[in-house]
Amino acid sequence: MIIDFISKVFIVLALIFMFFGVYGIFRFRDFYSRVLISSKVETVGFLTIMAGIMLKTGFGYSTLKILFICLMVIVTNPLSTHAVARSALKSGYKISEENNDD
Amino acid sequence: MKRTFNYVVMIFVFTAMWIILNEKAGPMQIISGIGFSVLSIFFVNYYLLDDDYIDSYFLNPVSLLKYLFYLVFQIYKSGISAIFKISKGESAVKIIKYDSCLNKELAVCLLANAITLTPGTVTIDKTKNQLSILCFQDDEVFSSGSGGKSCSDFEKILRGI
Repeated sequence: MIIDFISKVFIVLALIFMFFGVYGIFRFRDFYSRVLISSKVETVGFLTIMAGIMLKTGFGYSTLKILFICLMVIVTNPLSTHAVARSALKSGYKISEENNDD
Repeated sequence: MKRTFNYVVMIFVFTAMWIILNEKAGPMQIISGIGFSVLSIFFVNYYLLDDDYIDSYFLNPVSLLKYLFYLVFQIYKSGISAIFKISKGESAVKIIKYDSCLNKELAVCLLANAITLTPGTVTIDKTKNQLSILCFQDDEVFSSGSGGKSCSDFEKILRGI
């Protein structure tokens, strides 16, 4: 009963994190700050929602599978963010011009 | 001897992953897990990578766990501070050069990985042990350590890896 409640709290917290992440993407106008904020939705929101699901399912193979997915995400997730930001910089997307647009 | 021990640890980890994916820890799963682990290591050694990777890219499990726990703590800490940045609308960003005190290639890559995972910082480039980090204008987490004078907590953990 208590664990079920805690899991729901985790899921709600994850949704709050995700809400602020999506809100930030719409609020910020420049590309680079959007990249920085989008990584928040990917990591904090995802890990919290997974923690909530782990608590909800109880300890078992499904929990270990979710933990395994989390580890995979932790290893592979930064690669996509890095690739997007780096390719933008290499393509000549200037930071100062972006900030001046604000 | 150390090399054999590293292979045994790898086989143990792969077998554990196989058991988790099969959702059963019977003798058949353990034997097939060990078999597939040995087969996959053999395949990687002979067809995909140089044989020397086992010494270069082996991680100390205790340091790895410490790194993961500290990483999750940092992710949440930065995630909460990012909420304030979003609500204030602080969108100005900058690129800083950060000289890491780490010497091992793998440790520097793990540091870059951790920096990108924490909300509000993205590693853009890496030259030896110098990292180019995209971060918010008022972010002082990594700009304060620039110059390699002092190691951050992440680096202290990664030294053990």
